[in-house]
Amino acid sequence: MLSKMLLGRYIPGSSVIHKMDPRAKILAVVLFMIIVFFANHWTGYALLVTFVAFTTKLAALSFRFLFNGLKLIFLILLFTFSMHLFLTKGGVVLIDGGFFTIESEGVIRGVYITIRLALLVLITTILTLTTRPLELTDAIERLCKPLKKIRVPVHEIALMMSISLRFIPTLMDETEKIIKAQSARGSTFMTGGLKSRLEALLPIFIPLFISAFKRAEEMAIAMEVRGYQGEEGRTHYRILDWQFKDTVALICIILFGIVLWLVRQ
Amino acid sequence: MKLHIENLTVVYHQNTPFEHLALNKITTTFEEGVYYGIVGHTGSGKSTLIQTLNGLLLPSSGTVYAGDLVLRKKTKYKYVHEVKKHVGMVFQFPEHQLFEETVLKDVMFGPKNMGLDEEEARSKAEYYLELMNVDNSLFKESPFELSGGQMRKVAIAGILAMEPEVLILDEPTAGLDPKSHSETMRLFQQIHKDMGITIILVTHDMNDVFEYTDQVKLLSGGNLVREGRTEDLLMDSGMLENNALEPPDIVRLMKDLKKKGRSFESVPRNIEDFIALYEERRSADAE
Repeated sequence: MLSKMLLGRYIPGSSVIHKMDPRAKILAVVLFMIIVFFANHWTGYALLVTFVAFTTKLAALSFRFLFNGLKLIFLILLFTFSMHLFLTKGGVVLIDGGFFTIESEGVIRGVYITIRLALLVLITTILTLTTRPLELTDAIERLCKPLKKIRVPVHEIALMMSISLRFIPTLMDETEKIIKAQSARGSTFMTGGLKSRLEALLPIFIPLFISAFKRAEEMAIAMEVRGYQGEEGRTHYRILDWQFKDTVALICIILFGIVLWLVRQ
Repeated sequence: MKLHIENLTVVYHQNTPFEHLALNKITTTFEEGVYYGIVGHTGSGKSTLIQTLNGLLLPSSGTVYAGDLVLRKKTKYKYVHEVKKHVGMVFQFPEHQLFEETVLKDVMFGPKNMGLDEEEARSKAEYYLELMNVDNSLFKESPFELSGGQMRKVAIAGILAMEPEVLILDEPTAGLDPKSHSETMRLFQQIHKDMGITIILVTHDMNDVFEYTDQVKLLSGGNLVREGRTEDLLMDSGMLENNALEPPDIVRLMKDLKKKGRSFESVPRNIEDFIALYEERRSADAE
């Protein structure tokens, strides 16, 4: 059940996208997020969908796998869609159900907004699927470096991020183990009413928190033992290498943005 | 209760890039009242196998028969729950599953889930805590205040209190001090003898396997490579080494002694017996 989570997961590979500089990838994703909002017509959306599909192919990811990950936010998508379906007015009345009406403008906007959301999630999923979490935090640290001028503790924030990312799978495994152990003791958090289900969560969360705190403490000690004392004097093991192809990729995205702006209506 | 598995295959992360075949068409039987050992190198599928035995994992294909209960790929959760009443499982580091305010309440958690009322659960809990040598002055303490060894005993009592007919032990003594180690293993031995329950022990400690188990099943790469009587399998040190396992200390010592021209009719199964035999021989030699 938990193993199906795609969030924050990395799939090793050697595609062009995998090999891009993580900084370029983050910038590209940020640019894409802006560009998504340029589209206001079906041609624009068609272009966006094609672009994401193309990127997926470039990254050698399977669509089915990607859509499985999308299932997680299916409810959010459905919710957004129905909000627009029922609340956006205008155009032709399609269905008049008495206390509610569904109008053509609502359907169109609903579809557009859902596509927009799904694309945003997909492109960020592609980013995390093709970039090692550590590369990602490295890149964020580099990109945020100017903020140090205004005393933002960039290094510490990046470290916190990489530690939390590092421990997501560990905590997931731990959760799964504890769930198994408790269900071997007959705990029934998958059946029964809401109240008994919530009560059954207690035997899972308490041991989980305890082990998380223990882990944090051990981790802190282990870091101190190895002489960690903040950013000062630290060098990087992995050197980020900005290449020509990264510049090209960014230029492509910008060109794509201009095209989208031109097809706007 | 007899456990029987047929053509059991388990695949993790089916249809994803992480797909992994953990067990490959295993067919075997666990008879009632026998002490089994499951051995194999890390990643050989031991943990997966035992988890299918009490329904924590359902087979990707194949069948698990637990007494009259049948587990298949699509078996309903409610039905699977039944199996857990009969097949108890002590996980590795079971103290990590403690959560209640007091030791007694924690041990009562299992029996209460099995449908016993407060009174019955309490008496079961007290009985098994005492059996595990947990002092009754600790019953009202928080389980998190105890020492590691005591936490382990409380956690094990929590499983025993459910009175399973089959008890699965996954590395039950990992990380314990030598004294607690032998104490715990002896307790399992005693429970096995007194109550006649089936025990399935998963461990890397070949000495324990040699000393306590009747039968051994050897897994490698998700396949059941060999099964049979403990002495037959564990004396075969060539076969063990082929599967990246170390023979028990006693077997290695006996081999050495044999090379020196000593012969033995029977092989002692634990260190005490071995020392006794050794001393007997020495005094015989001295005469």
